[in-house]
Amino acid sequence: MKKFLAEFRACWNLVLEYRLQVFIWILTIVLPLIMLAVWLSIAAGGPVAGYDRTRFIAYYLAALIVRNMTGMWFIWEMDSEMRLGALSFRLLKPMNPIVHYMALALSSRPIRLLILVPMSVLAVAWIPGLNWATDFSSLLLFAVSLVGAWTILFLMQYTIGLAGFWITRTIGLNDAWFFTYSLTSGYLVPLDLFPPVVREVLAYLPFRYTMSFPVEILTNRVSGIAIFQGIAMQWIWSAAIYLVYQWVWKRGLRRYSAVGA
Amino acid sequence: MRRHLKILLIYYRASLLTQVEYRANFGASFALSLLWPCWIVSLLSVFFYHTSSLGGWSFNEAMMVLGMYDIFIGLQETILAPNLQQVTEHIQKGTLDFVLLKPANGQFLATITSCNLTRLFDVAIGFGLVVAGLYRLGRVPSFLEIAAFAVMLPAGTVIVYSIWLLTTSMAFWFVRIDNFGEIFYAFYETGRFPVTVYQPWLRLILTYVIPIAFLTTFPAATLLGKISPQVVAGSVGIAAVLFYLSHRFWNYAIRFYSSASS
Repeated sequence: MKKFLAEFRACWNLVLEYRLQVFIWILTIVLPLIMLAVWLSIAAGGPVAGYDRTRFIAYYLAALIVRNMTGMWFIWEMDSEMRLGALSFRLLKPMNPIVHYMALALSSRPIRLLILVPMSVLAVAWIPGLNWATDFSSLLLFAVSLVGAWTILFLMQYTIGLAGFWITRTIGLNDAWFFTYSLTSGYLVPLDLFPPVVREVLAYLPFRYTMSFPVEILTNRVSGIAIFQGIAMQWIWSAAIYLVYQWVWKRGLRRYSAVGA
Repeated sequence: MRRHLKILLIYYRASLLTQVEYRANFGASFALSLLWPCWIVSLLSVFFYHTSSLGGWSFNEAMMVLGMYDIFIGLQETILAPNLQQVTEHIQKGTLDFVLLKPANGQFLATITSCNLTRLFDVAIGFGLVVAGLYRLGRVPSFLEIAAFAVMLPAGTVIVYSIWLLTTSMAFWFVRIDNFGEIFYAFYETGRFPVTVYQPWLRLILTYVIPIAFLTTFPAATLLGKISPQVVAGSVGIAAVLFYLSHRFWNYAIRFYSSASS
């Protein structure tokens, strides 16, 4: 834990240095906004599958918050570190490199919270009919669901990054991952708008629990026992991906030392 | 002019030779180029699952706009983005002198001589989508429409080049420029869908301020016979004005360049 805190502080300093960059990352989460603009134009002719214009706005604003609290880009750094051999130095340190990348993936959260919390308060105050959950217990469950979503995403991204033991460029693999994630998580399209068969399949995949599920809590679309089922699903998936990670890590390390020696 | 073309050819051949050496990477780029159109066409299908028209455009027509988007993203990634990165690096390290000292136009050498040919796949796929849209509509554009399209395509390329040159020139003041490129991408994303789908204020910006509509919506509309000659002329005019402005801006900005040696 102490090691983690030290790494976190180092990464946090890095974030402050490039705070402009963080700001621009926030700014460039544009594609969902474009999707929103298109839906708004379609919904001008009447609600789409129960979504009127306000509900679209409520959904995509919530999705932006979830994306900002769970989105991570450390795989780019991981890719270059593994290719250029900087990983060897990390392995010399008395800690698992995953700690460093965890710190890196978390380090921009405080500054994002600082921006997102006032923005959300303003949104709730100014946009009539937003109908976001504002009671303490829902917000607490929302926070818990964000932790679960972050964990699934982090483990997935890190495991994909570890594929760098076998292939030279993991960014391509990550693109394929993003392709699936953005379509099936609810990041670009509310899952309610998919045909029923597709929706049923998506309920079993991990992606829904990284985006749509937290959004559903914040927008009051899920309640009671279903919330706890969702949180359970988050941790079942996290555990499953963690096992995959461990397997990949052990195999990869053996291969890496074989090449390095 | 001919001398510059010859120089360009030599540079591009060198890039191609280095890139085909990494055959696995070459193949992967191709596979990815195929992936993204599938992705965006699935998104488009979700819209059309609920509606029959997107700002007055049918599914096949909107697919042609997506094709135009791919063509220009391909061109940007092939010849613009690699140079932007290189110039930025030169500016950061103070090594732009080596480029400026060479006996040819500095702007020419610095902004179009390196290329990433693997992304030409995107251009090919973009054309594929455009043709597929036309084929499914059963429409054959007239000679005049094709001629207008052939004018708008290079005009659009010049527009994109000029905007990139404007953002690149800012690197002389702000060293971490890669972010400015990102901002342009943000606006460019809107070009995936017909401009008529957006709210009026946004449509105005995308037509007159950051003329993305002239890159994707209008050329596609040209092939569909939905556009007046004024728009074609406008696209050439905008390209000329932007090119002149960005050229002047580059020449102005370069005076602020501080080399590593001076």
